Amino acid sequence: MNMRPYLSYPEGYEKWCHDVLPFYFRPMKKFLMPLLLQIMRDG
Amino acid sequence: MDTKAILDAMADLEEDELMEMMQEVMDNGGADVNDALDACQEGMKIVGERFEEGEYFVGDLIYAGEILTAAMEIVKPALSGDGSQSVGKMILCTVKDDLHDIGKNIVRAMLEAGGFEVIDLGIDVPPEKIVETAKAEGIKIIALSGVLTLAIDSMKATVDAFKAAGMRDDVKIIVGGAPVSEAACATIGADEWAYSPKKTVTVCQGWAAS
Amino acid sequence: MDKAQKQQMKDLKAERIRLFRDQANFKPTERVPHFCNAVTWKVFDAGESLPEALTDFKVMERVVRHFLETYNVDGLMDVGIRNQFNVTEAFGSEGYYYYTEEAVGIKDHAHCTVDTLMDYLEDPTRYTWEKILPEKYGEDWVNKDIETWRKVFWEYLKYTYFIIHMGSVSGKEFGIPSLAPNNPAKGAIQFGIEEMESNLLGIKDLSIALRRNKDLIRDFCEKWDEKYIDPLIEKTYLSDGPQDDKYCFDASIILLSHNILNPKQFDTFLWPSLKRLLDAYAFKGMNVRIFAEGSILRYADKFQYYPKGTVTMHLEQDDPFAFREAAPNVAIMGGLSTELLSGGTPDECVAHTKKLCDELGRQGGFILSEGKMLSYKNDCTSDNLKAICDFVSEYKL
Repeated sequence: MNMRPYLSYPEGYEKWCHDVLPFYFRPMKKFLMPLLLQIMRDG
Repeated sequence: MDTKAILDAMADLEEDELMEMMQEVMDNGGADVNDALDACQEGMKIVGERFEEGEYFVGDLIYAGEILTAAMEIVKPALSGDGSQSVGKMILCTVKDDLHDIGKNIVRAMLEAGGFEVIDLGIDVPPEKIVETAKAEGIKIIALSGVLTLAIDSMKATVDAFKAAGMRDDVKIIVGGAPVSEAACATIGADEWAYSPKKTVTVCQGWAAS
Repeated sequence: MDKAQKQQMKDLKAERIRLFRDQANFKPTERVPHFCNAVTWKVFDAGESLPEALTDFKVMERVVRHFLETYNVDGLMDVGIRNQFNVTEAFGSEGYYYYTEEAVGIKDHAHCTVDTLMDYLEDPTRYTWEKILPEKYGEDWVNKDIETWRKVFWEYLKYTYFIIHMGSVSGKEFGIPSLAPNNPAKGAIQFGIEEMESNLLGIKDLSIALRRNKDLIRDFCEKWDEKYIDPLIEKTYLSDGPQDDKYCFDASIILLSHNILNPKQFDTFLWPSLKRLLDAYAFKGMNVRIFAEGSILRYADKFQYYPKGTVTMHLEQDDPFAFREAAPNVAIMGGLSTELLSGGTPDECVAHTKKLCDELGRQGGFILSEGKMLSYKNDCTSDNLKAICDFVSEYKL
């Protein structure tokens, strides 16, 4: 089992988005996740 | 050695040329090191003037500080160890509760170019530390920097700390930065205030000479 | 609120938008509107604790309500939304922003070096994922329990909800309009040179790179434009023009880098991008507010060539009278210095505000505002702000 499933890009990132987002938010991934990444990056 | 060329390279912020010439000074045995540094200092004066005239701006001053430091690094081994060129020692810092250091660092480079040995205490420096350092090192000139309005309180607290230590008459204090004005200077109880690095250097040189 | 009160607030909001837009378009109005630039000062003024207000939305809402109940302002730059702390704190890591009892600050940071700038631009998400986040939070940063990440996401949702909620509270209950729409392409409008200064290189490294790596910096700005500014320009040309009934301005831009750029560098690295965007707004008859941190007076002539109603310059430290003389076509936002607000008396504040209204606002072209953001407890006194608000809301031109 991969203990670090999210580290790679784009595969890990995509899996991270999928796992983090509740299913009803998944259609909004392209809108929601870049802003979250930006907060984590600059905030 | 062409001191005029060194002066021009510093003033025009021609890094490669300046470094080559400083290296040449070292390759020739380092005997001309003091003249070369004098030329750098004269060049820095012109940088300051060009800043006041609007040709250079803050980015250029930061860059000038950077290449001056690099130039001094090259010739350091040839310098006599006691800092005989120094016009005096002084303290510079950003006061308590303020973390801004860009302006302070520019002023530091200009003060060093103006012949001062600067004890830079860094940012967010409490009054006690400034007083203690002045006492321990026998410093007579203190330059306090700040960007936030909070800095005004800290500058005043620093002046008051010198009073409380019975040292106020022994030191000259200059304050500078965005919130500082003539009125703020009076509130703080400092001796002088500055809106430009050049004025800071001029005032401090005047104090050192008196 | 009953129906009549709701309608009253709706009408008040519409009236305020009209006042802002008319002044920005140099149309005389019956009074000068006041767009207040109060940020975290509100917290101290409300007698609340800054750490609590920044991490507890209920406290922050109380702060904003207290402010709007106490001061009769027409606009408010920040409705309590400078608090992303819960998001980064939810995964147990410290961000660049920090707070104490006295202040919110940001630590110096730079995500790139000159060698990696282009890698960043090639694919910002990849670079963020592979380089920036591991450097910021440690190599193993993402390898956390998924429940932790879900909590981070919920904090993020709560934060975005709070932004929407406070926009609604201030608009519906206090008649406060929104400043400008977000750039639909990417949050706030950001130029390449600005991003390099604020996030990618930092002030020191950018200052050095502007001389040592001039071509690289120019390439970066051009490629940044292709990616972010050109689509915005295209959208602007294709848009329906001004949105008179929704926002005070059609766009809002923050400029910082002019403070380190010399005139030659300004013309090379910032002005070409800014000009193309302003050309588009001018062509469509749209108005843009530019917040110029520090001083922009020496570049005033650049903006003078746009027709009245295109640019409103929010001056942080420049003298508004000097700016008006240098660029009579540019509307001015500002006029209230921290020195006056913190050190002056209420009478002095009113006298100065009256002078601003009479000399800059009578023919249109002036919006009263605080130059520097009111952030720290000493940035302003309550009596001064009250006196200004009472005066300007009543003073007929």
